[in-house]
Amino acid sequence: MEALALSDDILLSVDKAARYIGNEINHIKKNPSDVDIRFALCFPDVYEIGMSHLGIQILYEMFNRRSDVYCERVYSPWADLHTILKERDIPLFALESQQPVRDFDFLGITLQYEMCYTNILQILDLSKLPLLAAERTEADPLVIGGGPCTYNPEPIADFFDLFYIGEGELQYDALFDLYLSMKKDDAYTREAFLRRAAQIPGIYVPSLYDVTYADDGTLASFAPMYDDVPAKVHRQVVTDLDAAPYPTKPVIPFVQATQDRIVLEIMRGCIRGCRFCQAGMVYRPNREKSLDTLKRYAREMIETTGYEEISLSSLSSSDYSALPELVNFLIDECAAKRVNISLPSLRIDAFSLDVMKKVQDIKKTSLTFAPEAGSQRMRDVINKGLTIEDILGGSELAFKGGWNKVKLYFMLGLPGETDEDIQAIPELGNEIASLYYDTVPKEERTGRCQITMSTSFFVPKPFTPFQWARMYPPGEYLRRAKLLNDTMKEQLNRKSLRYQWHQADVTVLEGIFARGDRRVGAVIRKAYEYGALFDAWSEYFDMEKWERAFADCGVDPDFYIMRERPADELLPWDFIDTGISKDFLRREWERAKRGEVTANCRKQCSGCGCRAYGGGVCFG
Amino acid sequence: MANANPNKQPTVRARIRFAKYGVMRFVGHLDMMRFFQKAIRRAGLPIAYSGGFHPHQIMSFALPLGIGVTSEGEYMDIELTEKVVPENAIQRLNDQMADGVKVLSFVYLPDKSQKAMAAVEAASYVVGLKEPEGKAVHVLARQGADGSAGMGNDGSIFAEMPLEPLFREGLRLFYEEADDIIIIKKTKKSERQLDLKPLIYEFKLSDNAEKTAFLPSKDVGVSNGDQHDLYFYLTLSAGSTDNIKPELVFSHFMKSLGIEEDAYRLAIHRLDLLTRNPEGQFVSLGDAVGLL
Repeated sequence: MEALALSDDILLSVDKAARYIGNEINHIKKNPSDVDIRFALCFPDVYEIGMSHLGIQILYEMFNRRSDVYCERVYSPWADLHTILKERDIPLFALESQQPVRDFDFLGITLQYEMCYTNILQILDLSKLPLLAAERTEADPLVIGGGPCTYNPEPIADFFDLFYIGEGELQYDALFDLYLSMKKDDAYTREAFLRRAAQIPGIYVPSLYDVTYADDGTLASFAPMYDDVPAKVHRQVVTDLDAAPYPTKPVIPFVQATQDRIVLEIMRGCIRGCRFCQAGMVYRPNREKSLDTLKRYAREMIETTGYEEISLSSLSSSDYSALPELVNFLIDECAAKRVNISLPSLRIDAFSLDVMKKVQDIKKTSLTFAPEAGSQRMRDVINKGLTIEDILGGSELAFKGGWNKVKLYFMLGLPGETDEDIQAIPELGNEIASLYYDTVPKEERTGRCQITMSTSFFVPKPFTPFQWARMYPPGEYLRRAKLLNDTMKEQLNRKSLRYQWHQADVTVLEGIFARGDRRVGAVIRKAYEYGALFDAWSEYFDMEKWERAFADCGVDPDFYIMRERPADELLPWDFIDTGISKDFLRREWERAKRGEVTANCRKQCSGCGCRAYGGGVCFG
Repeated sequence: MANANPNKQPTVRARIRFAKYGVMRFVGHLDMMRFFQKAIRRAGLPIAYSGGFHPHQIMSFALPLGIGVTSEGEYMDIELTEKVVPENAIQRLNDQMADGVKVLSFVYLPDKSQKAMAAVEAASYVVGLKEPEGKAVHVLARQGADGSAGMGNDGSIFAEMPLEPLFREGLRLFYEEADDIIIIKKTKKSERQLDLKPLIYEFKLSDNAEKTAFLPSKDVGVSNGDQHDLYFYLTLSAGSTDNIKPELVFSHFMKSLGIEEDAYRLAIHRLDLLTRNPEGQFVSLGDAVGLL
């Protein structure tokens, strides 16, 4: 057992001290002096969130398979410990060895959502590393970013030495080997290493690219400074998921994580092509794991974890080819082992309802649809292939099966949204409620049905057909939410309807980060100085700090959110080759404006460009 | 394990004693329960489940342990659908423990025996006290007007006193010779007066010869493994009524000495949980199995 980095009096004074002690089941113990590379792997949010993330567990397992690497975990200290670490000048430490992060060779930070950006600065700050990559010395760890937000890393480019773009399974060995060989040959300097790392596919070293801006504020040029630095950085894609490493002995936290269950990743990518969805684009092509592999993983993980629940993970589990076989296997296997099955992101139809009846308590669960838009017109614009017949048909089956709670997820502020499209949302809710009263005879009802509608505000993301779209000021989002709410109150079945909406300020900020350029970095730094932290947590989010930061830095938020970008504008993320062509995205943007739907990848190839990866659904 | 309805199956009850030490002292009670639920599944013990739509393992802990406190006297009762050889069960469980949790014993309970939770009447502790580093000066104790060391409330003058005589004298006045120890016990809803005296069955300061005798067994070590300057031995009322924590006793003890509560570092280690045998004497919850 290691000596802890924090004293007893600190651990006794903070909330959930077990977040900071390591020592969990299945954590990996190595002697730091036996390895050549020490890697601190960080999820910049609180432990319970970070421990729920599959990607971290995959990399942790994969890195530690190497005998010359010791990968340890780091999470954001919660606000109470943050204050103590600052006041007492205690450096941030990794959980396994309890040793300071600043003594590591690498600090890898996963970027899962934009609202964690101030937490990145917290990690660097508490680790006592310079916030800016340019100010780091030979003694400091190399700070590398990965994950979905690297599809536009520019707002945080100044804070990172390098980024890994794409799926982590492929190039880390090359990166580590380069590091080791340069150290061994005495050829290592930070600068020399980064220059050569930039030549590894998928590695982006921001300091090796020159950015210039035009008078109107748009990008004028974005180019590598040297001939041996590639102009395009290519997204890394695993073609054979069955052969990829999988953490069948995941680290099991003592404190209850958000995802307190076995996570079985069944596939990556999605065949659907919803135009708002970044994940649906940047994880193309859709690739499945084989049924045999999944059965093996499930059996193994039930043994190694002791978890009481297993959950399937994918963007759209209903599209997994062997879903019935997989689900039936799990039902048999799990009943014997007393493991519950959780099936998120299933399309509601006869099959899924039948399965859910077997594995869930229908009295307690609600049925979830994600129509994303209320009117068929709008659903065509976003290419969400869910029709009114699907929704009503699924609901009717569910009501007959005994369910009486339905949740519906929508977005407000989608491109071209009219007031009629907004009003169609509560009208759809009302129609579903009417269907309940028409379908279920009075004597069989247990009170009213409950239709809950939730909206989030749409944020355009890079590498989607909506990457050119404009956003709206917070007041306009709230007007739309209010219109929805008022329309709901006019519905016949209003007493069966509920409506919940999100904060508008956060949406605007997320929009700026999602499509911002390097000039936004200064604002993030300023906001952190003003105390912005845990922005993804509504109890900590403080827009006032951000407004001051924007004003101080002379950065105009409207430039990033209020413009529809012209087709020929150089976008900050254009240097990344995700495999999806800009022509395809543009075609989809034009089709969206005309309300034309595009077939899914199984029905017909729409020529996005990802066929070039040579795997997955493209060759199905 | 594949019983369609475990409730109808006859089950056997077992009592597990375990130690919790090292960094595990920061893992809270509910997290420990969840930890054991998973460990029992990994160990493949034939644990019985409750009925209903969300069956849970039939498992109950005797008495929660506070965060920061170590113990070699933790107990939980479980129900199994079939008997497992105790040594085998201990081995399988210990293969699944985190560093800092160790199963010490596993015994089957007679059918009518009380649940551990209901049987607990007292808990014994050793409390190590250490002077903070770099603060060699002993706390000032009040000296009576007649020159004797004491806690005279009037006309007291202050004098330095070495650590051990101070606490020995303090303990005499606070506990040994006190008729009562009236405190105000605050709950979320109310405040009530409580006399601690009859609920403290034992409270003594070890002398040098006894010091090692009070040290918990080697492989479970007092919390951070430090040597302490003084060791106190306490047996306190515990269980569902009048559950007295050592932290509470020490906070009032320190107050009586005129010492700030956090002036010393305390390492609290639970030695055992106790119940009474038919003769009314305290016996270990682990040894009481045959008696109840």
